[in-house]
Amino acid sequence: MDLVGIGLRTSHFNEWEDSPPQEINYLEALSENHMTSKGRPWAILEKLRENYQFSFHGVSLSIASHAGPRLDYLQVLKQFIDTFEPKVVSDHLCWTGLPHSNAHNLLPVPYNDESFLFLRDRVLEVQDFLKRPIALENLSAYVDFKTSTMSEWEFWKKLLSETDAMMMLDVNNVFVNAQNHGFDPKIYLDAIPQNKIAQVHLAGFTDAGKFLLDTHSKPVYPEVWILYRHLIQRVGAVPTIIEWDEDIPELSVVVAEAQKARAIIEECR
Amino acid sequence: MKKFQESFFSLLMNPNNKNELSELLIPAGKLLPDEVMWVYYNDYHVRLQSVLNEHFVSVWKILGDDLFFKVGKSYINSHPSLFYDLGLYGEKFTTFLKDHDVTTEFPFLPELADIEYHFQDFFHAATPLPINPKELADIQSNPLLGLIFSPLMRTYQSNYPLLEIWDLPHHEAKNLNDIEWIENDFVLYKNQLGKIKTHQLQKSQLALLQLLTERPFLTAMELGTVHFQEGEEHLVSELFQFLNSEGLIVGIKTFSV
Repeated sequence: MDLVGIGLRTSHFNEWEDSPPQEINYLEALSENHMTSKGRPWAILEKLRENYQFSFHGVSLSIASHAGPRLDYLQVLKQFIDTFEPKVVSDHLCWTGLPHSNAHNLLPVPYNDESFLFLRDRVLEVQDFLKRPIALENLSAYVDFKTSTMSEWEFWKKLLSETDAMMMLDVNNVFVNAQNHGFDPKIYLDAIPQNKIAQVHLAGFTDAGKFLLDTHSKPVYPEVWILYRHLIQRVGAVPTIIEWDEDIPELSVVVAEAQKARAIIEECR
Repeated sequence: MKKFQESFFSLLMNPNNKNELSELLIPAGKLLPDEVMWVYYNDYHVRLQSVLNEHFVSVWKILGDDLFFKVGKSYINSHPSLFYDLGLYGEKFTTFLKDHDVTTEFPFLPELADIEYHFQDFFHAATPLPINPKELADIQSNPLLGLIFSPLMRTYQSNYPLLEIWDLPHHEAKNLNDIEWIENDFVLYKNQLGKIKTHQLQKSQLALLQLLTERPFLTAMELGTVHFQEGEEHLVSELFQFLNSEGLIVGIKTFSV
């Protein structure tokens, strides 16, 4: 059965414990919310693992950090992964701060050969440590750099072809960046090899007036559904997760978004 | 990469202080070059402030939006996050409040913040298994043996009605003026079922609990008698009934002579 689901959020814990939804079969946990906890966030994964396949998605790997990922982070993450054996382990193609100060934000790098060579080596190191492939997600970035020498999708294509890394393809981020940086999102999507897409993310953005802001605070926009359909028509069914992180509605509302994704997968067969 | 990231981070923290990277930025959408790093600056402050909002709900309620956000911004500016887990941020907020002007008007704030931070700390901690009662057999005969209590138990002896103040966010129309200004002696703990609770104790019970933490059992019981008046023996048994029923005795340790 196709894997379609939603992000597990603390505000829904009661509903997950009392009456977990049967309409979905796939659940994405934010690694940092669970891996250092031995309380309720850990217990709920133990309960749900019987009926759902897991994806673990992180925000703090900071694979592009000049200092490299933190060893203590990787050690805890590996223990977490080894315990639950999720289908997909992912984080972002970004850095999150300096060694002495974490900005807790997904910060971009220029798309050039220096970044490529640096990231290629980091990907190999991380995968070697975790003993498994990792999927990396494309960011919503609010700035590009004059030192970039290739487009974002060209950079991804190069990285995916020269490492075992997979891509966590966030279709909403592709749309947000296309609007913010002025490119055709379909060209981006069409450039990503089908066999390199580990999973798709869908979410809602906020129109900040001068730019689009990736907030995960709304339903998936119609324009993003169109892009998702475009992608699925080309690559077929891909594990898909709905993300919702701000102004989180009732669980049933998020599940209904996942149902829309499942319907598109069915229609595209 | 290092130079680029240090320059970017410097702009993120101080968007007005331009550096060599400023000229290389291509902003998103209709943002101006001078505006783009404010997006990251604002996001940084919003993220860290949102953790403070989440952890210190009652402190927020007491201070109100404007003052709490002002105090929060001051904390964020002086306390960068060292953690990969954003949820741990705010670990020094209690200490920070102790030295802050707001405690002049609200002297109970540091204790309140301490309760709130430890509540979320206990939330994520594994519940220790209570001791098997059979293992306690020797404690009343061996003068070197003492009790080990759950690390998820924290005592408070406050001059303020902390529990009622802590509960204020659950009562929209209630404020500090509606609270009877009494002392509060209690423990915050996570019980063997994983529930985080509070339990009020008498000062004598807290004193005995403190002795039991620091001394062998028999010594603690002997020294503890000075804290109880005649006819208060039931307070001792009540204390042990509470500790046993909630699974807060988790082991035995041997003290050196």
